[in-house]
Amino acid sequence: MTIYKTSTGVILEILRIPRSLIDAYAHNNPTPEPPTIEVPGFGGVPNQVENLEDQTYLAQLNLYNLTMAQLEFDLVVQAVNILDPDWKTDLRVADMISIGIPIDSTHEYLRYIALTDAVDLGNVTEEFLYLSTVTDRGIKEAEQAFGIEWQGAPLRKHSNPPGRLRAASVYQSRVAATSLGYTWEQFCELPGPDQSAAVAQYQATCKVEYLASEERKT
Amino acid sequence: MQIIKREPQQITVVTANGTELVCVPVRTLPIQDLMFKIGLPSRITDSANATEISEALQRGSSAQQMDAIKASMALFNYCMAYGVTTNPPEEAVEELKSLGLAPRTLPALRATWLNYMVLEDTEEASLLAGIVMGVTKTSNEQAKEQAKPTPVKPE
Repeated sequence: MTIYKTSTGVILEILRIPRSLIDAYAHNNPTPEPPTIEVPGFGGVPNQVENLEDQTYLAQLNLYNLTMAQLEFDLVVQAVNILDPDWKTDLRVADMISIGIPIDSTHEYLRYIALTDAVDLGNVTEEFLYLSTVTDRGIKEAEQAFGIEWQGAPLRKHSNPPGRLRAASVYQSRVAATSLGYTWEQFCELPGPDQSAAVAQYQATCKVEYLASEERKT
Repeated sequence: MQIIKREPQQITVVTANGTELVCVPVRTLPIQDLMFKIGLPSRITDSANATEISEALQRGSSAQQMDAIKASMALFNYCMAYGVTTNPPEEAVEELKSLGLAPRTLPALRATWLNYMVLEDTEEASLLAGIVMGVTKTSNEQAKEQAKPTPVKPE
């Protein structure tokens, strides 16, 4: 749990939310695909390339980004408690009501009064993600805590094994979870920093094995 | 409505009835939400356009249209309350009070004054909202530009 004061003077308590909500947010809303167009390639062979300037695609992308922003805000609302002030007595609520914006729930209060600054929203989002799921920040913190060095340099400074496999980060989390003896459900119950530490442990173990195998080759 | 002065963080306009108004950036997130409710998500960061807003308001069921109209009124009012820093003159406040229309808070008072005594019609209101959203967009772009790290040349 983290206490955060917004630039609008509202004190929020940021909590973790179930990881499944974040995964659903990320995976249930696929990014729109750009259309392809045929362009003449080398030697006259036609090539199919993505048309990133297509107006319909740009409109879909814009709508997608805004829809995701709305959904993200719904997640934020679930992750915060308003500690101070009591939102029902905040004078700014009366202001909003008098210009036709009804503030009748914490959702509306956060949207129109407490979290109107993009920097605040970004900070709150980063924090609840850190508390709820695997994040780069959590992984870096765990790596620092592990203090693993290889040939006198931190592990992060060594190059990663060349990989041809591409997968979503949830796959790596699942592999990390099962390789450390957790069921996926148990893993999802862990606080975000613990999930990140598990992934960091898995990554570090893989990397050390790779570096050792490279050393044996030479 | 005419723009008479354009600065990075504010635009000064003169309305059809000759009132000079200073427009400043507003918070983006409430604007986004209201535009989303109107049904104009693809134009959220652009200036509002009266024709597009009225077309958007005509789409959907009666209930959806009512919600969209409420949202568009709220959008105009939000821009007028927080995106205009010029306060109503004393005599205008007195007049609004005599009509029973003077809200207690300054942002709401500004919106009421503009709606009842300054702006001629919806077209002018949407132009003013558009100018506020435009200056908001410019201001956000400048903030993003300033936030970019300056490349450091190697010695």
